[in-house]
Amino acid sequence: MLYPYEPLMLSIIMLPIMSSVLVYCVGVKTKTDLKYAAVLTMIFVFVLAIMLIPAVQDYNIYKVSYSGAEPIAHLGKDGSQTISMDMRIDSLSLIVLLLTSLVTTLAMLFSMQYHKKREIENSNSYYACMLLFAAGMFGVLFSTDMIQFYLFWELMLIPSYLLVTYWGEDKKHSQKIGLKYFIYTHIGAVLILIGILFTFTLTGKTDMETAGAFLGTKDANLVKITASLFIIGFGIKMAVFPFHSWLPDTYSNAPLPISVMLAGAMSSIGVYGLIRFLFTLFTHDILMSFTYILLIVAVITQFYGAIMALVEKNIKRILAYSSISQAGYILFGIGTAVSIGVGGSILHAVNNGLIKALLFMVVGAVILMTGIRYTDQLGGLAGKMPFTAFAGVVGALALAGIPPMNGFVSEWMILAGGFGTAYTVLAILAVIASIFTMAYSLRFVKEIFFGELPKNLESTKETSLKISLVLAVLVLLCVIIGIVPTLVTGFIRNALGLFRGILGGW
Amino acid sequence: MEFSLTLQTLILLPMLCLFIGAFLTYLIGRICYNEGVPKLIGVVSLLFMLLSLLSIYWLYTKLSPPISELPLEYPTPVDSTSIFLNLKVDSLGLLIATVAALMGTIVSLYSITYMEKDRGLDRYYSLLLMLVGAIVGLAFVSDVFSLYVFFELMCISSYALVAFRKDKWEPIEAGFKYIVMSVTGSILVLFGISIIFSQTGKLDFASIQIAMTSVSNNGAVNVSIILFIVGFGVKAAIVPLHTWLPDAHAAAPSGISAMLSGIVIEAGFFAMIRVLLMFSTDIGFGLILAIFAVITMTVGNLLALAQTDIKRMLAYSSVTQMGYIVLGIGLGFEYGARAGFEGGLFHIFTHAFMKGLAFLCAGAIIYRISTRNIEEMRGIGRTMPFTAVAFAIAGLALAGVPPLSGFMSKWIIYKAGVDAAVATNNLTLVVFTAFAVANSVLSLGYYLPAINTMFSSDISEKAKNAKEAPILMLAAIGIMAFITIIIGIYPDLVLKNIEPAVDFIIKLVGGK
Repeated sequence: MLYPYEPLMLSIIMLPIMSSVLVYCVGVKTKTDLKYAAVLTMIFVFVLAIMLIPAVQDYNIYKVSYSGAEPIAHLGKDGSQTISMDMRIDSLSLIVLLLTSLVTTLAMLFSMQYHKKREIENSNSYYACMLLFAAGMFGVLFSTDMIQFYLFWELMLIPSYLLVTYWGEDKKHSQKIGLKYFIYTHIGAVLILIGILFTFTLTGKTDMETAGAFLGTKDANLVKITASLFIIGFGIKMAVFPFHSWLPDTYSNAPLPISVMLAGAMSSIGVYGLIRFLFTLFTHDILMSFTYILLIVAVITQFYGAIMALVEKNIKRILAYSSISQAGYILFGIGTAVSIGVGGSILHAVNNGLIKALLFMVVGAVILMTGIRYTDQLGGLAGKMPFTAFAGVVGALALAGIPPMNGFVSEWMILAGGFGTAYTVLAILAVIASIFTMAYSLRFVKEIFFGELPKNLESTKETSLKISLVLAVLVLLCVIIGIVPTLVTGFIRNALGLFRGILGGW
Repeated sequence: MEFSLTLQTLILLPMLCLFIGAFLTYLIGRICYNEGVPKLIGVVSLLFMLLSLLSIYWLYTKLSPPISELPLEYPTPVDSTSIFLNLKVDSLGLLIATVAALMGTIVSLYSITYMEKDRGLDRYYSLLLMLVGAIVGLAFVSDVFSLYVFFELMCISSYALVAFRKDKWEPIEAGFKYIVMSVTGSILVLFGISIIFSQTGKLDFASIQIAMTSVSNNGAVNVSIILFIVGFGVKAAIVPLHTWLPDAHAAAPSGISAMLSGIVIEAGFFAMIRVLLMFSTDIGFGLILAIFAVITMTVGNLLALAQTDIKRMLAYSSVTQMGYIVLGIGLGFEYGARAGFEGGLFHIFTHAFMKGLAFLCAGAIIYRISTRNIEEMRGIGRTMPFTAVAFAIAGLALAGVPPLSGFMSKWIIYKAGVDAAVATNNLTLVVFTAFAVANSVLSLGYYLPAINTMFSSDISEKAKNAKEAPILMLAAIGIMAFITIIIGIYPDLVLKNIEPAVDFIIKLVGGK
C-alpha cells in the first residue's frame, strides 16, 4: 500500500478517542468498571508507537499526505489558501511520542493501584478523560498544519481541566484552581492562535514547512512579533516566569496519576510545540535577536523554581516548583539557538518527563502508605519502604544532574550551548542554579526518607508490587539513558538536522 | 433579460410555499377546531417549510456552477411609474434564505411538541411561516423599497410571536418594548430611504450604486448612512440599541427565541449590509461598525456573566455574537479584508445553528421542569442526558472551542483583524483581533458554569423529577447538534458556498 505506516499513525490518534467514548458511554449504561479496557488501549498505543521507530529510521521524515483528498477548508481568492490535515512523524515527534505514550501508560497503571485505596467517583469518566487528553497530545505530535496543531492543542485542554477540577484533591478550592489552569492555558493557546494567524496572513500558508520557507522574506518587525507571540504562548504552557503561577496549585491539587501525566507528558508537549514552531518557521538571525531575553527569563525561572522548592513543605509542591525550574533549563537551551543547546533541551525535556514521572510516583507511594504529604511530618522512611526510597534517590540524583544519571547529560549539553553564546555571565548563573537544584533535590529525599522516623509512621509498609514494578521501569530508563545517551541523541541529531533555524554543530 | 417562465416561477416558489402555507395553516387551524389540531397544523407547517427548503435547494442547484448572481427579475408593474418588485438571487441572499428555511423547518419540528399545550396555535404557525417567508423575500429583493416592505413584514411577524403567550405579563412587556424600539428603527430606515430617493431618484440597488459614485460625500448621503446604521442597528442589536433583546428573547417561546437569535437579528444586519453596499466605502462607515462591534461584544459578555436566567444569558450571548459578525463585516468594509467578509458571513451561518441549538435545549429543559433559573437545573445532566450534552456542545461551540463550528467561523474573523493590520501596515488594528479573542475567552466564563451546573453531581429537586425531552424535540436538537459538529470538522461544506458571495461583495467594495 502507499503508506504502510498510515494505519499505525491513525490508530495512535483514533484508538484513544474511540476508546474514551466507549469507556464513557458503555460505563454509564452498564455501570461496569472499564478501567482495564482503558489501560489496555494505552498499552497497545505504546506498542504502536514503538512500531513507528523503523518508519523514522528509514525515511527520516515520514509524511502521510492526503493531498489527493480535498483540504478541509478553502479561503481567499480562488480558494488558494487551504487548510489540510496531513500527518507526519519525524525524529523529534517520535521521541516525544514515545515519552508521552510511555508516561501515560505508566500513569494509568499507577492510577489503577493508587485509586484502589484512595477511591474516586465516576471512575469511567476519569479514564475516558485521560484517554482524550492523551489523544490530544498525540494529535499535536502528528500535525503538519498549524491549524491542525491548534485543534489538537485545544483538545488537550478540556479533559485536563476536568481531571484537575472534578477529581481534585483540595475539595474547597478545586474549582478555583481548575479555572485558573483553564484560563492561563487557554490564553496561551489563543496567543499561539494569533501567532498562527499572523503567519497565515504573512505567507498565505498554514502548513508549517511551507510557511517557514516564505516567512524569511517578510518584514522583520512583523516576523519578530509573530515569534514573540509563539514564545509567550508556549511559555505559558511550559510555565516559565512570569507565567508560572498556575502550575504549583494545579500540580498539587490534581490527583496523583494526573500530576504524573501533567508533569511527565504535558510539559514535554509544550517544549515540543515551542521547538517545532520556532525552528521551522524562523531563520537563525531572527532567533538570535531573542537569545538575550530568553536566557535572562530562563535563568530567573531556574532560580525562582529552585529557591521555592528549597523551602517548600508540601512534597507535591516541591516537585511542582522543580518543574518550573526545569522549564527554565529547557528554555535556556532553546534560547541559545545552537545545536548543542537545543539538542540538550530536547533531551532534557525527555529526561525531565521521566524523572518527574518517577518522583511523582514515589511521592504517590509515600502518600498512599502514610497519608501524609508534609515534609515536617515525614522522615526516615527508607527503613520501612526501601525500594521506594531507592527509586526516590535515583530520581533525586537524576534531577540534580549527577552522572551517571540521565539528567547529567542533558544539563551538560545545555550549559555547553550556553557557554557557546556571547552571554557567559548568564551561563555561569545557570551553573549556579544547578547547584541550587542539587540542593533541593537532595533535601527532598533527605526529608522524606532519611532522618528520624516519626512515631506514628512505625507501621508503614512497602508499596505494592505493582507500583514497585512501575517505579522500576522508570528507574531503569533513567539509568540506561544516563549511561548510554546515544540511544536518544541519535534521534535528536536527526531532529536538529531538520530545522533551518539552527546553526552550529555538535 | 428574457428567461423562461419556469425559472421565474422558481424564484417565487420558496416565498409562495411559505405564504400560501401561512394562509392554509391558519385556515386549517380555524376550521378543524378539535383535539388533534395542534399536532396537525404543526405537521402542515413543517411540510410547507420543507417544501420551501427544497425549492431553495433547487434554486441553488440552478446557480451552480458558482455564478455569483443570476438576476432573474420578475417585474410587476404597480402603476405606470417605474416601481417594480424585482427579485434577484445571488449567493449572499441565498445564504440567508437557506439559513432561514432550515431554521424554520427545525423549529417547526420542535414546536409540534413544545407548543402543544398552548392555545391559538393557528396563529403561531402561520406567523412562523410568514416570518420565514419575509426573510426569504428580504434575501431575494433588489430594490430598497421592497427591502423595506419585507423587513417590516418580518418585524411584524416577530412582534406577534414574541408576545405570543399573552396571558402572562412578561411577554407582553417584552413585546411592547420590542415594538416601540423596532418601529423607531424602521421609521429611521424609511427616512434614510427617502433621503436616498431624493438624492438619486432611483430605488433599486444597482442604479443607486452607480448614482452614488457621482453624488459621493454629500452631507445628505452621510446622514442617510447614519440613519440606516441606527435604524437597522436596532434590529441587529448593536450596543446601545440592544436593550429590547434580552427581554424579547427570554420571554418568547423557546422555538421563537431560537429563530430570533438565529436568523431574525442576522437578517436585520443583512439588510444593513445590502443597503450599505450601495455606498462607497471611503466614507468610513466600516470603522464605525467595527468599533461598535467591539463595544457590543464586550458589553454583551459582561452582562451575560451576571445572569441567572438561562434564556437571558443566551440572549446577551446573542448580542455578543452579533458583535463578531458586525466586526468581520466592518473590517471587510473598512480595510478590504476579505477574511472579514468570509468570517462574518460564515458566522451568520454557524451562529444560527449554535444559538438555535442552545435555545432549543434550554427550551426542552424548561418544558420539563418549568423554570428558567440555571441553579434549579443543577444535575439535570443525569435525568436529561442527551439534552444536556447537546447544550454543552452548543455552549462550547459558541465559546469558540475547536473542533466545533464556532471556532471555525471565529478564527476567520480573528484573521481579518490581522489581515487588516498587515495590509495597512498599521499594527494597532490587531487590537480588534485581541478584543475578539479576549471576548471568546471571557464568554467561557458564563458557558462553563452553566454546563458545570447541569452536569453537577448534586441534583436539585426539580431536576430529579425530569424526564428526557420528547422525541420530536430531541430530533430537532439532534439535527442542529449534528450540523454544529459537522461544520466544525469540515467547514468547507459551507465555506465553498460563501466564497461566491464574498467575491460578489469584494467586487462592489473593491478590496483584496
